Order: sequence, then structure tokens, then C-alpha cells
Amino acid sequence: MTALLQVDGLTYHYGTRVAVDGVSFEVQSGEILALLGPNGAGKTTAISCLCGLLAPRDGVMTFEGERFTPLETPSQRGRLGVVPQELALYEALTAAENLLFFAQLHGVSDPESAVARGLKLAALEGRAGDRVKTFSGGMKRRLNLAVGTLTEPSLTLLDEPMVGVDPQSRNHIFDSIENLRDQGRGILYTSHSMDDVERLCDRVAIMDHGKLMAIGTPAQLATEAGIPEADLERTFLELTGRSLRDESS
Amino acid sequence: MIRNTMIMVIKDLRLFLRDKVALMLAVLLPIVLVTVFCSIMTGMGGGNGGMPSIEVALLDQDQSPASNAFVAAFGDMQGISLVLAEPASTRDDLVRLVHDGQRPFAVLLPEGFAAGAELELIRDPGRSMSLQILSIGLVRALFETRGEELLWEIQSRSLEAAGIPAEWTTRIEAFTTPFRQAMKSLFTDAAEEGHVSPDAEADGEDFDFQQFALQVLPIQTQDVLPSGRQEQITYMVSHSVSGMTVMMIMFSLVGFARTLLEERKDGTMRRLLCAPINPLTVLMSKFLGAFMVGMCLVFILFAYAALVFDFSFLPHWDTVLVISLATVASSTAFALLIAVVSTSDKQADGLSTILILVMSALGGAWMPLMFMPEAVRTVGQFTLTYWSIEAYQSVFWSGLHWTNPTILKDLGVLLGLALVLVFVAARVFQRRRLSGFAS
Ligand SMILES: Nc1ncnc2c1ncn2[C@@H]1O[C@H](COP(=O)(O)OP(=O)(O)OP(=O)(O)O)[C@@H](O)[C@H]1O
Ligand SMILES: [Mg+2]
Repeated sequence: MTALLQVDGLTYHYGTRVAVDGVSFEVQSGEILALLGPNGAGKTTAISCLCGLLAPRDGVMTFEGERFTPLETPSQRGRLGVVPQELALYEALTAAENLLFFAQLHGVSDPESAVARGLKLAALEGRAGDRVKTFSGGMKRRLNLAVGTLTEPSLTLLDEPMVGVDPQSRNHIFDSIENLRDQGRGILYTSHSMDDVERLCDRVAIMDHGKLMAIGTPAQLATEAGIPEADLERTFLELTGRSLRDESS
Repeated sequence: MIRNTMIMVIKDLRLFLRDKVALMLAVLLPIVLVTVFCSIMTGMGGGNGGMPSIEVALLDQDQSPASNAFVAAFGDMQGISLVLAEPASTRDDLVRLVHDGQRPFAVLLPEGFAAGAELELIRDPGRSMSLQILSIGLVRALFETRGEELLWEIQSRSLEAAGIPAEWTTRIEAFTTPFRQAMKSLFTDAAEEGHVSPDAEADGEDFDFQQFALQVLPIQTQDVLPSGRQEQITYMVSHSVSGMTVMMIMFSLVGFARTLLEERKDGTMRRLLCAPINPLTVLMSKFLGAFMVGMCLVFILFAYAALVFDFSFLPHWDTVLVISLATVASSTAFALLIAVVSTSDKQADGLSTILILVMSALGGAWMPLMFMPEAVRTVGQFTLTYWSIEAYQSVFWSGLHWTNPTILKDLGVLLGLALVLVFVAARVFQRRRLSGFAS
């Protein structure tokens, strides 16, 4: 079975700082791959290269069997669903207006039903006509997720979609993501919550200092790290060390 | 591309209209500024070419009908405001007023003024510009109160000034007295025959010194009123309406284009750039949205000026429309470039404020460039503001049609600038996008 997304030797530099350094991985259809890594590991940068915001310095991406160069090819950009790390919404527009705008921009064939689908996914049917700035953090998170999956893409990139949400919203978002997987879609998911990752993800890729340290199921990683039976958090710390990242590099 | 642009324009305009406070400011601020500026300018531009009135202290010691008439005529003069001194004050008080700098000039009408005594002008010699206006005022008031007598007085005084002894002038009077009598009877006869109205010369009310002077001096004058100008409009009003409009729409347009930076800060720019659209669509839509807002604002400002300052643009609506299109297009391009090159809201605000103020000053938005030194006028031609104001003044003041070469040249420059600025903005935006700076 060929991978949905194949990334080979992806490299990106901000000036002289190497943010992503020869990273290779693949995402299968119907799979949730977690991309883990300490702060500044290069997760967001890698995702930005994938969705066509940054031009990789090196590396080859293949999506659905096609050479993937989203920055240069507008038609390829819409094929991935993107849920950015920050809440990328128009606060002065209502939930429905946000969904409609992005649906139209992506040329979704039936924007109205896409909006209805998005509202349902975000569980915001009752607040469809309210402006986003009147929403709580968790509601905005759910809408952020809904906007990113409007086009029903075969692969969705989720950059920390769970920040600041309560257990109810979290469960709702989990269900939504699992739903996507069950429809045979692929998902690349970054998070700092090991619990979330253990609950949701099929495989885990661990990045540090721009490099991919390990990739596999949590059990495989634990064995690889020489601590079988350990939970994901211990494995993660074993692989990436205990020092804080923000002050170094 | 067109479809996507329209989707984004609708979104941008919706966001713009939602922010009620910002919207009020965008409309009210220009209106307030246009009002303040035009009021100042109309006050100043009333008739003495932009100078404030000259304050003159006046002491009337004669208190005769003749001195009263003089005070009335002198005080009527535009550009001069009389401050009457207490009747009890003295000449020394007037001298002190001028000496202490409280008034630049003082005029004393001494006792016997009616009988021909000389009036006295006490002046601060440093105020030569004002002195010219004041001298004209004095001559005019004297003419209006003394009439023809003044001519004979001038004659004997000029003989005296030429060094001819006073007693010799009696030799001339032997001729002039019969001549004056002949003149008097000439007027009486002419009045009887209906050639002139009785008391034509004595009637101070209708006496127009300026017209009289131009009639009797060897000067030919012809009034040429541009066909399209409304009579009531003054140069300063039409200038300040166009100047302030041009300046204020720039500010408002930068405010709109700045949303490009807000989208970056809020992360929505990432979403736009991840969408399957040409990235230049983002820029195009900001341009179009700002352009529409700018056109509305120009219309609102001109309509307001029309209501408040009798400034009607409707007779020339087609020319005003064409000039406004070019003006708003170039200002929008300018605003867009500012938004694209800036990396933060603050930077855009600072950069645009400085540039707009400098362009407005140099381009003549505040003061007509004819009051400025040659160097400023030359530099001014390198600003957008200059060409917009030139074009607007060509229609408001000179009544030209947009097909006139003068306006066509202004339009050409404005549209050329718009194209260049948009092109540069697009290049910068693309470069930034490829290097990851745009999001
Ligand atoms: N715009 C930028 N300019 C320069 N350096 C950047 C920029 N964005 C990120 N970096 C640097 O690139 C490296 C990777 O950052 P990135 O945001 O990809 O990390 P991350 O793994 O997403 O971190 P986090 O978990 O905190 O979101 C960091 O060292 C960061 O300082
Ligand atoms: Mg990140």
C-alpha cells in the first residue's frame, strides 16, 4: 500500500537557524500520526512546508502519488486540510460567516452544506449567528478545527488543536478526529499532551532540534529506547532529554 | 481569480462595516478636519489674500461729521480692524500702544480734521507688509470722506513737496478756482440732463475706490471668470476642500490596507495563503476594498462640503468622478505598499503618518503651493498629493473638463504612479511570501 503522504529529507532554515533538518516520514490513509517534540523542535515549521507557506530548502514531498510542491502550485494547496496552531478566525464575523468564507475560498461545491457540516463538527449549531469574539477559547478551538476540515480533505494537518479546551470539548474534538480516521482519512497531529497522543494516535514521530529522533507505535518506541513497558511520556523524555529547550540553540 | 477576489472583498468590507467605532472615526475625523481647515481658510481668504486683519488703534479728537465719516469708511475696509481708543486718551497713549507692541499702528484724527488738519499715522516700521494694505485703506477712506477736495489738496502738497514756496501756489489758484467752479457746474448740468446721478461724487456709500482707481488710472482691466466656477466659491475653500480630502483619504486607506497586517497577526493570512488561490488575489482584494471605501469617503466629504461651504461639485460631476478615481487609485496603491513593506501595525502607522504629513505639506494640501518657496514647489511635484490637488483645483477653481490636457496630464501621472506602486507592492508581497515572511 502506498502512503498517502511521503516526506523525504525535508529541510528548512530560518536564516542560519536550522529549524527542520532532513526529516522523513509517511502518513497512511486511515492513520493518525502524532508529531511530538519539545518547544522549538520544528513541528510547526514542518507543517508550514507541507501546507505551502514555506519553501523547503531541501527534500521531496509526495502526496497521493504525486510530487507535492504546494508553494508553487495553487491547486495542490487546497488538498490538505490545515488547522493552524493559532486561532485563525475572523473575530468580527460569525461562526457561520467564517465557515462560509473559507468554504467559498476553497471552492467547495456546496458551501451551504459544508457550513452546516462544520457547525455540527464544532457543535456550534446554536451559536452559528454569533460573532467569534463572543466565543470562549474552547468554542474557538472547535471552530478552528471545523474550518480546517471544511473541504473533507484526505489528509489533515492539526497543529496543537487541543490547547485550552475543557474535557467536554476535548472529547468532542477526539470524536471528530476519530470520525475522520474512520472515514479513511489521514491525520498528522502535533501535541504536547502524551495522554491525548496515547489515546488517539496510531503511530508517533518524535522530533528534536529539527531532526526526527524516532518513529513507530508507542510500544515500538519504548522498546527502541530500552525501556519497554514505559509510558509515552517516559519514552519521550528518554529520547529528548530533560533540559529545557527555549534557552538553548 | 475574479470570483475569489470578490469573495474576499465582501469579507473585508463586512469586517470594515462591523467595526462601528472605527467606521465612525473613518468618516467623522475627515469631516471634522475639513470643517476646521475650511473655516480657517475661508476666514483668512476672505479678501486680503490670506493675511490676518491688521489691528489699528484710532483716536478721534475731532468728533465731527467728517471724522465720523472717515472712521466709518476706514473701518469698513477689509483686512483692517479698528480699535477705537477712549475719547479721553491722548496722542501719548497712542504712541505707547504702538511702542509696547499692543497695536502695530495707530491713527489720530486731530481737532480740526474736518477743516483740513492732517491726520497722523503712528507706526511700527517693522510691519512693512501690513503698511501697504493700511496705506491703501487710509487713501481710500480719505477719498471717500473728502472726495474731490482731496485731489486739489494733493496737488498743492505735491507742489510744496517739490520745493515750491507756499505763497507761489496762489499763482496756480488763480487758474484752479475758476476751473473748480467750472467742474462743479459741469456736474450740476450733467446731473440735470441725466448723464450722472445727483451727488454722484459725494455719495460715499456706493463709492468703490478700487473701481474708481482702475477707471482713472491708465490701466485696462478685463474680468475673466472661468466658465465653470461657481461665483460664491473662494480659492481657499476649493483648495482646502480638495487638500484635506486628499490627505484624509490617504489616512483612511492606510487604515483599511493595514488589515493585511492584522490578518498576519491573527493568523488568518496563513489560511488565505494555504488556500488554492493565487496569493496576489489577497492583495487585489485589499486594493479593491480600499478603493471602494476611498470612493465612498470622497463622495461623503464633497457632499458635506457642498452642504456646509456652498461648494458644489455636481455641475462637474463627470470630471470630479474621473479625478477621484485616479486619486483614490493612487492613494490606495500607496496604502497597500505601506501595508506590504511594514512588518507590524505600529510600523505601518508610523511610516504612513510621516509620509502622508510630509506629502500633504509639500504637495500643497495645507497651503496652496503658490505661497511656498520655489524649492518646495519643485519638491512638491514628487508627491501624489500634488497631482491630485492640481487636478481637483483645475476643475473646482478653473472649471476645466477632464478632457482638457492640463487635467489629462494630472490623471496620467496619478494612474502611472498607481501602477508603479501596485507593481512594487505585488513584487514585495510575492518575495515575502516565498521567504515565509508574509504569514
Ligand atoms: N519566523 C521565524 N523566524 C525565525 N525563526 C523561527 C521562526 N519561526 C520559528 N523559528 C525557529 O524555528 C525553530 C522551530 O520552531 P517551530 O515553531 O517550528 O517549533 P515547534 O516545534 O512548532 O514549537 P512549539 O511546540 O513551541 O510550537 C525554533 O527554534 C524557532 O525559534
Ligand atoms: Mg508549533
